Amino acid sequence: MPASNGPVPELDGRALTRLTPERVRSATFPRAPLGRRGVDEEEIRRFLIRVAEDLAARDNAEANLRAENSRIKEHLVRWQSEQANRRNARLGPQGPSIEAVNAMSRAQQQADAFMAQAQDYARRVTTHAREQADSILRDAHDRAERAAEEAAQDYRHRAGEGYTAEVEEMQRRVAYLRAFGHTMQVQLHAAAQAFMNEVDKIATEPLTSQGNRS
Amino acid sequence: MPSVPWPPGRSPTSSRWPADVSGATRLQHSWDLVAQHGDQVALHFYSHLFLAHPEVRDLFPVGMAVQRDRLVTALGRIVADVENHDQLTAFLRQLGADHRKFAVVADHYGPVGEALLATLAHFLGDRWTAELAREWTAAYGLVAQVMLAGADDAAMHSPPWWEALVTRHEQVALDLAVLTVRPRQVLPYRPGQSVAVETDLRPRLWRYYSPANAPRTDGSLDFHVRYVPGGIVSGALVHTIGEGDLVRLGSPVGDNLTLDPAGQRDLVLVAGGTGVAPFKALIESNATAEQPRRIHLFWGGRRPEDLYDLPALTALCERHSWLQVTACVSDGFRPTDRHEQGTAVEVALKHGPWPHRDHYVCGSPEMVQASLTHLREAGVAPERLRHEEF
Repeated sequence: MPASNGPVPELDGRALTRLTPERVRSATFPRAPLGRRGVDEEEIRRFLIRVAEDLAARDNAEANLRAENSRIKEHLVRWQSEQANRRNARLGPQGPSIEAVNAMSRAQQQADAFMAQAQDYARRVTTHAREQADSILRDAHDRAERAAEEAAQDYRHRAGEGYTAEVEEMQRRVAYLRAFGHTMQVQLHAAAQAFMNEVDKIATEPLTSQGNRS
Repeated sequence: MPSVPWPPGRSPTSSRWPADVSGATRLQHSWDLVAQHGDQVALHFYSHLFLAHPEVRDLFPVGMAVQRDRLVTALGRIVADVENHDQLTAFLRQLGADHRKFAVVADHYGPVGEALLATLAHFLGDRWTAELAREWTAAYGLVAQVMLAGADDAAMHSPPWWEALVTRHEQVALDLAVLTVRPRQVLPYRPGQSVAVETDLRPRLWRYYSPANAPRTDGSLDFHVRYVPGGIVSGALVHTIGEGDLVRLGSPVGDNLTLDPAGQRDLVLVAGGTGVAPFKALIESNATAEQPRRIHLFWGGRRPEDLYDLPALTALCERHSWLQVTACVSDGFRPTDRHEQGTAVEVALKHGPWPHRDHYVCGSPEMVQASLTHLREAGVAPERLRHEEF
């Protein structure tokens, strides 16, 4: 989160730090992690999600005020009409009551927020997994390139008279594939081991979750 | 024209656009006041609608956040254009035709009108007058009438949606699937167009995909679907749906990436990832043209594995002398005999420039924007540049 300052306002008795226009305007974000340009996108995302939450909460609070306002007005109208010896027919709202409408709106807002949260989580997990896969591949590629270059140099030293460019390229490719395959093998072994550990954990762990059910 | 059950007890033919400028201004002014409440307006509207008519809730997806923004945007556009009759009528007719695939029928327009008036009344408070109510009632009546007329005209030549059977689902990469679906009824489309797709796994959510083949005799269509991180529909289409499942398809849309049959110009196609799908359809249809145009496709991915359909495209290349395909890999890998180094547009510009060819661009929004900028900077005239915008 961007640095917060100022007192913490209270809304609905909940002590949540509400964003203020000034805090939004003056928000600053940390630089991106090494190797990337600009500011940290994750931080911006987190901030935006927070802004959305606050907007929704404010909309909610406003809806409550309108409901109260509408109730008061209704009372006033009723009182006036009673005062006027029921000269006017009672003016009631048509259709669903404002309380029902607002309850429905709150439920929908909650559903929307849950979905946004789940989607954002899925997005982050997927993005992270992709980045990790990329870095594993890149690492394997870099190692393989180095191995290929070494193999080519080695061949040039050894070849002497019999040197041909075709054989050098062949040596290069064989070394590349061998090194790439080896790195991937190591990675897959590590992944398989981690997976087996998880499986073992499931098998040996006592069923403790029952106590949590209500 | 079906009778619109709106306004209650009055004939819809009495509805008309506000007769005078001040009427239009009043509508606009009152809408501006209401729209200041932002998301609350649409929240109130839908809650009112669903409470008064619970059966309508099922026409909408679980998540409503996007839907609310769409409603407010559409209403704002209608109100802003209220004096611009021709433009507004065209927009509303298309909107009505599009709503057929959402299973919207004439009976739904009345409840929506009630909810709209209740919402306006609620947010305008004392400023909601009998006169304003009359004007909004008349305006909405006409909106409903024009939308229904658009829907009726569309109904003369196409069903509201096409049911289609998934006949093939091939996971070609971790996050990418190629689906073949066969509509029960022929779905006529032009190569380069897109169709909206909905699955029962994620009801009421429609996403546009572009068929990757020219129309076939069995009517089947191929879709290339990449899982968008966090994507609700793409996730279901890549990882969950299977052969034998049903999908629904909407009417084909978009003409920016189609081939003008009378056109003569050679083509440069710049694709990123699954953006290659419409271009594959174009290439297939070009093969059946009397005088095929010359086509050079530049297909870009970050890594060689991203170019999942290269064997099929290479095969097409071998068959057709007018076709050239260049695979482009941007992410630091050494160029090989099969790939060139760089993004699709970078490689295309290295091969070009071709000021007299038409340039088609398709891919992620970021890829399309970046490619268009590069091509413009390289001097490709705007009328030689085509891309889809939605």
